[in-house]
Amino acid sequence: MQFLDWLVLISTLALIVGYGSWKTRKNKSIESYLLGDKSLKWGAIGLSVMATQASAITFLSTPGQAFESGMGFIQIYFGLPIAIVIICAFILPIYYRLRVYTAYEYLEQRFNLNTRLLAAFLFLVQRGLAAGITIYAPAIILSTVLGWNLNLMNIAVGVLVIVYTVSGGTKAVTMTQKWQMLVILVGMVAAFGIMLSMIPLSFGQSLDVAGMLGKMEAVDLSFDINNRYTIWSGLAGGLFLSLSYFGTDQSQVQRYLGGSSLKESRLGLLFNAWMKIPMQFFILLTGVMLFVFYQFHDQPIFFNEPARQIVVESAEGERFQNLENEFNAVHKSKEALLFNYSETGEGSEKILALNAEEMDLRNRAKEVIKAADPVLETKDADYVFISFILRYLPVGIVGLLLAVILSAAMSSTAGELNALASTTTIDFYKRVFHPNATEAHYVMASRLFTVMWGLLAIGFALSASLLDNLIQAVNILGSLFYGSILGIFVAAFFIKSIGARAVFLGGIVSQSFVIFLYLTSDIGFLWFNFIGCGMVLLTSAIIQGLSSQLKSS
Amino acid sequence: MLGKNKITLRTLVEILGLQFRIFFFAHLFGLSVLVNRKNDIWIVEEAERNSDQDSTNWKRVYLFTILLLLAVIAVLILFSQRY
Repeated sequence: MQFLDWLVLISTLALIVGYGSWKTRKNKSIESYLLGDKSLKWGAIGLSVMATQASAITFLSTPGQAFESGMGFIQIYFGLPIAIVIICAFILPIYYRLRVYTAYEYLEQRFNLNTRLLAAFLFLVQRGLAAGITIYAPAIILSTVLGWNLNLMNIAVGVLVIVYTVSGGTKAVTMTQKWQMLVILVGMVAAFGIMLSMIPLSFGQSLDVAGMLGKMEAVDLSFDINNRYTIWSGLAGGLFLSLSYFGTDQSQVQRYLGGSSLKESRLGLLFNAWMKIPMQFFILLTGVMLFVFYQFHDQPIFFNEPARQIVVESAEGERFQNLENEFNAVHKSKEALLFNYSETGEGSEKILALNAEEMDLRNRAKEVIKAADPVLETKDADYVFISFILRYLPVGIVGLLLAVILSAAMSSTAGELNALASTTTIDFYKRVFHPNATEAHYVMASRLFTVMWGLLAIGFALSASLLDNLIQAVNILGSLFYGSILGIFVAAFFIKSIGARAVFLGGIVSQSFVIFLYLTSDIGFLWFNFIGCGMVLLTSAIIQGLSSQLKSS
Repeated sequence: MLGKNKITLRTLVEILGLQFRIFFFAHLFGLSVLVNRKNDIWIVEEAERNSDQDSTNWKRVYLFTILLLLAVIAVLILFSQRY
């Protein structure tokens, strides 16, 4: 990192945070603080929804994912536009008619207070933990490769987000997210352009090479139950996940409830239905072009350089370096053949054989890493893009790309803290403890709850390194609760005959059943989303049917 | 292999796959019918009556979004086959 990079990084972040805090510092009413005076236009809503969903990991991990597995990951977004159409047609008008601040308020009007508090509590547990991870995940990668202090990074990102989220509430979050998305788009386009200019082939030839090496299979039409990414799993699973995330998760609901009208909110959400797949396609294509780039440049056998250094200095160092030398030799032979292939289209069989040899050497290197130090993480996909940024991008652009990663971390954390504070204030503090206080009192309470959740997120991020497989643990926790929450909302929106008592008992039974399954079976955790939702609907329908029969007899 | 008819696990998976595809397209068809008949659904009827004045033909916007998704998937399939 040179002086110019620091200048670009610090001035970009400071300008966005300073501008957002200053422009939105006056908030007198709770509607102004939590819903931004309901004055937002569709463009701001659309970018805000997109920025909340896209965390730093999206920009660090997704290119690495494409580098390893190709474009197939795009399929998980196929269900998103269908989910957004359903939300715009059926769910948004109801939120607007009832003039709610949080999604869970609706549940009290449709069912009762207990159901509202149950769903709000489940949201607070999972989102509270996720906010810590949103800060921790990019911090651990950046601190590893740049040698920065991990704890200081967690605190700096967390405090910056707290400052403007507390100061300006929803308006500040949306305003900063608009500028953060602009920085993200400019940075990603710059990285893509520079990368293309450094590949010694035309864009068309690069696509041909990527296709020959199996990286361009964007759509898999087969019904292979062992394949995680197919068009069918993407459409069905993506629909379910997007319905629960965009329709019932307060961190998203709050973004579009700030719209100046139902029309603006709908257009803001639909903007995501239209733009999400192209945006993800572009990020994945960046990863694929990174793969092509490394076919013509020195490619490390393992991208996590600090971890590599530990292995080289260990007892396994010699074995590791022998593998590195072998890998470099195979890589050089492949490079010469690839030049010939791009001109003549011949030699693909030999290239594929060398590619398989390279893959085998990479896997063997990971085994050596594990043998050298079992604690070291052998998955290096998250380090592929950041290694390219630091090693190949010019001075100034490195600072811009680091601003992209930190902007993404801050934008999603701000959305989460804002939603956590709203739910705590509206669904618990105002509804249960202090129902008749003044507007100024609730604004102050929201500010304090934002600080509280921000400090909890920082605390969780600071202690995150003490836990193994933390990201997976939080994903499992989310999947355990998401299904039941979605089931309660689906019953509320679409099954008029189900009443409050039935859905509350259904929610409890479903949640207990999902936890029981988690403890006693080997079912993949993503299935808990489907099972939880289905169980709520089934059990509440049975309970409702039984109680109706008892009443009539 | 199950019984005399030599139904292998693979055949079963293929049959299930076909059924899933039929189910999926029926689901998409059902969605388009739902969007077209949304005024018949009690919740939306009730909600739309209270929403702000808006002359946008939302049915067309939703249809456009679904068609756009299908077009994007078609382009991506062609893209996969080309490379």
